[in-house]
Amino acid sequence: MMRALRERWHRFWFDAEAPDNLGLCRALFYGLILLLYLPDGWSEWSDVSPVFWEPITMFKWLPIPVFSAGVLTALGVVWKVSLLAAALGLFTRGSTVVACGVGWYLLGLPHNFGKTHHFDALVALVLAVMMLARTGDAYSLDRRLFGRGRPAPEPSGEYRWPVRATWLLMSLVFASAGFAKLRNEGLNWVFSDNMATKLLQHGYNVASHEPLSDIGPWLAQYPALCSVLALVTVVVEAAYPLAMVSRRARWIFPPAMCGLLIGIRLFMGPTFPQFIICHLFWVPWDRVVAAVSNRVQARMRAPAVA
Amino acid sequence: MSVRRLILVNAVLAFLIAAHLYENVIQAGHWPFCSYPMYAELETERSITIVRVFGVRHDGSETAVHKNEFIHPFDQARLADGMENAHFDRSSGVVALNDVLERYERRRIEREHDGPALVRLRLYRLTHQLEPLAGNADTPEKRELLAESDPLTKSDRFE
Repeated sequence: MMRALRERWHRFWFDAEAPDNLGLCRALFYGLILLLYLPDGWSEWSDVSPVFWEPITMFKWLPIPVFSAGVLTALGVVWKVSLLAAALGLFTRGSTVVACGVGWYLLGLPHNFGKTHHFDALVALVLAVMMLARTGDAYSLDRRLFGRGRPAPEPSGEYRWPVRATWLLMSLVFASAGFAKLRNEGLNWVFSDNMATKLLQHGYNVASHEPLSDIGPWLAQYPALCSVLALVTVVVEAAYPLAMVSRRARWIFPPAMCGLLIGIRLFMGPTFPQFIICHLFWVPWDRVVAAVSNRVQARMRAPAVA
Repeated sequence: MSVRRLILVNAVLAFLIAAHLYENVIQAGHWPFCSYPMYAELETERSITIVRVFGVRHDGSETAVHKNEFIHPFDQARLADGMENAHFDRSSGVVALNDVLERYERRRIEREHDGPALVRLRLYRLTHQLEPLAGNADTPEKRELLAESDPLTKSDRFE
């Protein structure tokens, strides 16, 4: 029994895979995170009064200071360059280490002032996973520039576990959110005016961002519809981990979760593009690329046949 | 994969699972780990109380400081919590408002936002009875002044 479980665990995480999918996930993840944070800067935090300072654990335990505006600006540039290099797969090992180290500092810094948001926590954890992984063996400049003459990397578990670890992280995050609702309030969270009240409250702009639409307060007029929405929310969150083990569930829960995240932005205000970006790990990009290139080749052949 | 790598990766996976389970058991958050209790509480109250910052123009009239670009690098939720903590826990509401006002005016003069010129900030606690379509979002039933910043002097105005 234990041996069978151990083998199943090993197969799930470490069955041999080609490096292509991980390489494509790396390029897309770092590239999209770079695009998302490209307009952002962190230098203003150096100038915020200490009266707002409420350090998160990482800043409390480690002697990490709030650097001067100049240093924060420089760190922002370093982080963005490391994200670009990691996306391109240039000096991948080093660039992913820098992207993780500097990223944890810059992403964590604002959470020491006033409130700890969690919209970027998943990105921090995925940066750590990617730092430990061998992501530069395909679709990378490293491979092009420094891998000439070397044989193509053999399929390995090294290229499988990082993608699945990211699935695990997403599953832990969303299942935690689902169980928090059920643990605190049980089915009352679903079958009461709770969701209608929440949607209406967000019409008073209580969140980090204003809602993108007035649909939330409008929906709140229909409590039964809001309860359906609440039920869908809890089911999608709590059952999200099924996507790890079921291909069918993979077609349902990750897209549904992206829909919920977009719904939260539209109806309530908070913004979660980081979570949506992390969902790219659910897509088998190597198969997408193969399917697209097959189709392109078929199209190119078609006129000749005609 | 080498045995060493297998041990390392399994240890990482075990750590990630254990850290999330721990956060769920103690129902806390140690960024980047968290139990994600967002929206988990049951909302039954038909009223809502929020802490808001308002600006005072040169003519004495008030205006909501409602856009995130006005309060950068904060956002509304972060500033509201930060203000509440500064005012109630540390009795430093005025210092916090002075800090936000100074940055608001500096950024306005540097044309980083298009808000009106302000001479003061005020911190209010607003209570709204929930109405259909949030029709009274701009007209709270109760408005309690918690703190007021020092006025900006001419030399403070960065001009």
